[in-house]
Amino acid sequence: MTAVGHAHIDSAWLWPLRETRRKVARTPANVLTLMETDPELVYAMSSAQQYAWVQGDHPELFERVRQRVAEGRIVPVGGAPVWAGELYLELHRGTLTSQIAMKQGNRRAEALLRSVEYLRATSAVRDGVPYPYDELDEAWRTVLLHQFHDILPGSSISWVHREARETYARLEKQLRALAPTGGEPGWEVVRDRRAVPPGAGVLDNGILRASLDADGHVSSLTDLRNGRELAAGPLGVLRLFRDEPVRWDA
Amino acid sequence: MELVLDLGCFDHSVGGHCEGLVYRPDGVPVKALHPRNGWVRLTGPGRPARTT
Repeated sequence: MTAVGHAHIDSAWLWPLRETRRKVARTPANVLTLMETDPELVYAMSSAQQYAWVQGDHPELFERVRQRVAEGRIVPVGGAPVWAGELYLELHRGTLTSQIAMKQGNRRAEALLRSVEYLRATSAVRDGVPYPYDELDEAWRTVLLHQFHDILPGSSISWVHREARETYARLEKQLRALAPTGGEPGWEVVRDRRAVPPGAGVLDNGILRASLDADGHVSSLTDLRNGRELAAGPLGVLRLFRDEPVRWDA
Repeated sequence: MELVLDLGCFDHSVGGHCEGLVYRPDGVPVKALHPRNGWVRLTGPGRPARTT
């Protein structure tokens, strides 16, 4: 039997990000101390973000971790699950959340980043305008941090989500400011006020085709560029949500 | 030899408490303290040069 030490440190959950930032100094400090007296101890440490926090806040501690990594005694781990069923957890089901600002903030930030990257790359190639590597790199790191498994799903305490909403708002402002002048990415809602008779509705703008059923729900939404059906079921259906906060609800 | 520090935590669980981090005088972290882990080695391998 082989046992490898590990600490599952959620980057935020019942505590804010700032506490994790402190915690990821304490845990490796303990492990390094134990390694002094137990030559067989091997420790697996995950989460690139947590290494980055240690490196930024405690460079001397990071250097000791780096030495143990070189010796093979601290093993950086992470990546995709391998075994069938590994992601299964009885109480973590579905993708619904009551913290919609998390999903919206994440998606908008990703879309803005993609647009700004295209626009600034074009400006760099065509006009020689310096590409904002550092700003975009930092923005991606922030977006990815907030994709942590208790922030994006909405399963953290309100403190965490309050800070995340503020962060997403700040990110959006920063990214829009990075867009080239006159080329700010965005979208426009076009309202078509013509009444669509129930049961006979098909809306088609050459890009998307939406079919409405007799109840007025979108029963089908097709991306016409590739024929992909985007609706797994009727869209726009209200559902009741049973709140069980002590069972990791979101 | 170990120094055991009682930070006054309740022992109902590991989580849900304030925790501590022992530093050397030069600011290098030595070891964490929490309700079920309150020791700092003073002699032998892994001891800090001086603990404050």
